[in-house]
Parts: sequence; structure tokens; C-alpha cells
Amino acid sequence: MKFNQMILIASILLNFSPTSIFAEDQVQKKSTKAKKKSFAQKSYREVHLSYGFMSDKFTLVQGGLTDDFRAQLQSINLNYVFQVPSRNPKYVFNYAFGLGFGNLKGSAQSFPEEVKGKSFFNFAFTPGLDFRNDYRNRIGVIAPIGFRFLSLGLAEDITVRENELFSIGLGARYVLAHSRKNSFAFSFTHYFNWRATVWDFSWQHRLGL
Amino acid sequence: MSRLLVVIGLLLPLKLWAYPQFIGYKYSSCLTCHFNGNGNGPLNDYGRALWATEIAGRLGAGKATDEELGERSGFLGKYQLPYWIRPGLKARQLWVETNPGSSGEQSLDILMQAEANLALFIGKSQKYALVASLGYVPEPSRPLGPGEEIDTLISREHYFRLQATEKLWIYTGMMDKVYGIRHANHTAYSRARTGLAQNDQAHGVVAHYINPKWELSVNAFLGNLYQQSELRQEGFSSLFEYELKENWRVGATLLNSKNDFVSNTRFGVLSRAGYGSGSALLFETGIIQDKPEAGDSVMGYYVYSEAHQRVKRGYHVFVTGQAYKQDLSSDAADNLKFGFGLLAFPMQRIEFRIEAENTQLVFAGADVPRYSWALLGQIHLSL
Repeated sequence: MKFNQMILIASILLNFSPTSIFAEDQVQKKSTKAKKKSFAQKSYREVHLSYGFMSDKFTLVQGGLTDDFRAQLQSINLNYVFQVPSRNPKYVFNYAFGLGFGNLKGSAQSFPEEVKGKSFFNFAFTPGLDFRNDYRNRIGVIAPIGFRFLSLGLAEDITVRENELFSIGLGARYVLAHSRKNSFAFSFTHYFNWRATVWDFSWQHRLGL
Repeated sequence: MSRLLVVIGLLLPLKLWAYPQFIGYKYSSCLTCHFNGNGNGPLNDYGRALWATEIAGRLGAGKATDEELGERSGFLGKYQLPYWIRPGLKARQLWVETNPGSSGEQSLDILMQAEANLALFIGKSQKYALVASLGYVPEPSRPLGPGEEIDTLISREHYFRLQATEKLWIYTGMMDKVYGIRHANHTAYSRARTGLAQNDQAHGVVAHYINPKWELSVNAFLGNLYQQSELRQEGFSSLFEYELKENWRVGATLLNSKNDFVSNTRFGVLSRAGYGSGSALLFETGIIQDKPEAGDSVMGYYVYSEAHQRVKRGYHVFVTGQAYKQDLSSDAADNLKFGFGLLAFPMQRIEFRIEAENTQLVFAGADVPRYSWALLGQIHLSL
């Protein structure tokens, strides 16, 4: 009905201008292809493989002096995810259990300290809530709890503040499905205890279809 | 309050930037909505009606049907102007806060644009059209040189459009150069670093051939004739897009130009795909080569990507990912920029854009400079 209205409005307003030829093409295309799809109502599982990029800042202490140590970390992460639709099928709870490994590099601003190619690994439990306004796309919030194991390997008399093992975070994500089984996701998360900002790009695969 | 907004809305301008992400609404060709088939510039009547009935929200619409909203979408609302004239007005205010919350915090408030535009037609078929704009541009924040004067009243476009055949349009005059995905973010690396920003229009001729399955635009230009002759970038550019399947277009784009000081070559590939209802994924990547008259040529790259999702009618969220490096052979950093935000059209004629951008520099060595944040807010009013 809406598209019929569009054609009507366009023909009244345009008196068939040259541009209307293409407008109509597109409107016809749209009306013939319109399909109704429903959201999945049952719980299901997914695996997510992702690349994460993180900027982090530590404070180094040597004697009475302090210095900033800025680091960039890259990681590959694997998550096993339970997707649980709520009563309102537009909302989906998800619970991800993940582990990842990667490398980091960074340098101090004043102290003569720099590292490159250091390995680290992490575990995370990430609960989240997605809103799906159509059958292909979602936006959501996530609140991960992460554990990270890393060693900067600096001089022995330097201590590192804020090199916490544990951090909670808060982030947002966007999921775009390109088939029933596969989708891409982008997420942005800030980890409070680590003072780190993580960008994550993942491929998601639905199991059991 | 909503009535007040309606009144304000009716008094304000309607010239819109290109929104290539609206391929997600299954409108893949810019000509559907714009007088300029390559996007940007004033909307045609169909574009206005579509904006009111499908893209924008219903704030202040009351019980009006979509059909009524479409009828009210003209310059003077429901009152229909003669077929030969289509005026428009536009204003855009930008607010930027860099490094919020830090000692380096800076804020900026700029009236980016206040512009009037006019489209005149010869004959009801609109085979012949004259499109022009005249408006204010802000003075640059840099100090002016001795004797330098900045004209804050300029025309960003004025061209004659001829529909030569059913599928071929010819544009002659001053316009944006044809290159890449013409999206609204003119500070993106894909626009600013390629020399295609807000005030980089050129005088020239564009031939635009449109088939349902593919489009080709070729642009020969003499540079901006209001500039000094030695600064004018003369050359050509082109854009080809092919519809692989419904709502998925891939393409290639090329630009080659030179002035007395430097030759520029840009080449890119791109993809625009619509998903679901009103959602889209844009991707463009390319190389940027600058060859100074004296000195070695420098080659860099850029990437622009955007995922755009309709949340509800009139409201969209988006994430962007960008990358840029000026010189591939140097030790300079790769610039990475990630952003997310809200694009809202609560009602026709009003647009809000709020965005947070995080820029990170990645060096090959262990140096890690501090990353930066920018918060951007924009209000865009149109009649």
C-alpha cells in the first residue's frame, strides 16, 4: 500500500519527469521483492571468530618516578555463544564464552623502555542484549568480564600500575547477517579497569541449522 | 511543541547531501531522488516525497497519512509551485569536541553552510534543467596571509542538465567531481584525502549513462575557474557501478588531474549493499598518488567502510571504519579511525547526526602515540 501511495504521489508531483522512470523501476522492484520473515524464537548456539584491536595505557613506576606506557594489542578470539530470544522476539539475550591470544607492542614516554611482539592471552565471559528490528540486522549492548594474562618484560625495578588481571567493560555492537548461518559483527568496548578501548570485527556462524 | 517543530520545519531548507547508504531502502541510483544523478545537491519532487513518506520519522505528523505527508513535502508545503521552478534553502551547523574530558579538550561550533538553491526547467518533461546554488562558507580558522581575502559567499554548484536520450544525461557547469562513493562525511579519508571535500568542486562536463543494471559517469573538468589558473586541477574522472544482484552494487572509480605543481591520480574499488529493511554496508578502498613537478611521486592508500542500520522509521545507527596512509614507502603511521553514531530524521526537513570518532596511529615500530577522540554533532535543516 505504501508503495502504491509513493507511485501516486510521485506521478502527481512529477508530471512524469525524466527521473521518475528510474524511480518507478525501483519502486516496482521493491514491491515485487517484499517478503515477510519472522525472527527465530528458539535458543540456538553460535561460534564467533574475531580480530580485536586494543589501545591500552599503563603507568610505570621506577623509584619515585612515574611514566606512561602506551600499548597496542591485537588478538584473535574464539567465542562459543548461546543466543536466547526473550519473550519479545525482537530482543535476544546472548552469553559468550571466549578465549583469545595475541601480541602487543608499546613504549614508555620518558623511560627507555619499549616492547614489541610480546604474547598475551585472555578469557572472557560476555553477556549481552541485542535488539533486532528486522530479520537480518541487530544492534546490541555487551558487558564483558575479561581476564588477561600478559607480561611486559620491563626492567626488574619497574613496577606496572593498572596492569590488572581482571576488568569489566561496556560496549555496543552491530550485527549484519548475510545468510541464515553467517553474519558479520562490529563491536566497540571500553574496559574500565584496563583503561583500554577495544575494536572487534567478527565472523559469526550459527550451529545446528 | 510538535506543532512548533512542524512550523519550524516548514520554514527551513531541503537540500540534502547524498546518502548512498539508502541502497538499504532499495534505491540504488542517486537519480531517483536528486537532480544530479551522481548524488548530492537539491532533491527532486520524488526525492522530497520519498523523504517525507519513507525515510523521515513522523514527528509532528499527527494523524496525517503518508500520502498527505508526501503532498506537503514541497518547498511551500502543500502549495504546488509551477512545474518550471523548484527552489530550496539549507543550513547546517556543526559542533565538534576533540579529546573530551582531557587537558587537550577543544570545541568548535561552525555554521558550515547557509545556502539557497534553485532548479529551473524548460518544458514539463524536465529534459532541460538549470540548477544553481549560492551560499555562505565559513572563514578558515587559519590566519589569513597578507592581502588575502576570503569570499564567504560562493556558489558550490551551477550547471545545465540535458537529458540527451532516455538513458543519457549530460551536465555542464560547476559540480562535484565524479569519484567514489559520494557520502555526506566530507572529512572522511576517502573524500578529504582524495581532494573531494566540501569545497573541491570543478567546472566541467559530466556524461552519465544509466542502465537498470549498471551506471557509468565520465567527468572532464578544468578545475575551479574561480581559483588562480596555476592552482586549477584539470583532468578527468569516472565511476562505474554494476548491480551484481538486487541491492548490491560493485564498482570502480578513477581520477587523474594536474596543475602547475602536482599531478594527482586516484583509483578505487567500491561496493554498496542493502540489507534487510533500510540497512546497508558501504565499502571503498583505493590508492592515492601525488606526483609533484619537482620531486618523487608519493603513493598512499585509503579505506572507507560504513555499516548503517535503520532502527525505526527516521532513526538509524551506523558504525564506520577508515584507514589511510599518505606514503606507503615511508615509516609514517597508518591512520585508523573508527566511529559510531546516530543519524536521525525525526521529520522531513530536519536531520541530526551525532557521532563519536576514535583515531589511532599504528607505526611499524614500538611507538604508540596517544589515541584521540572526537565527538561530532550536526543539525541540518532543509526546505
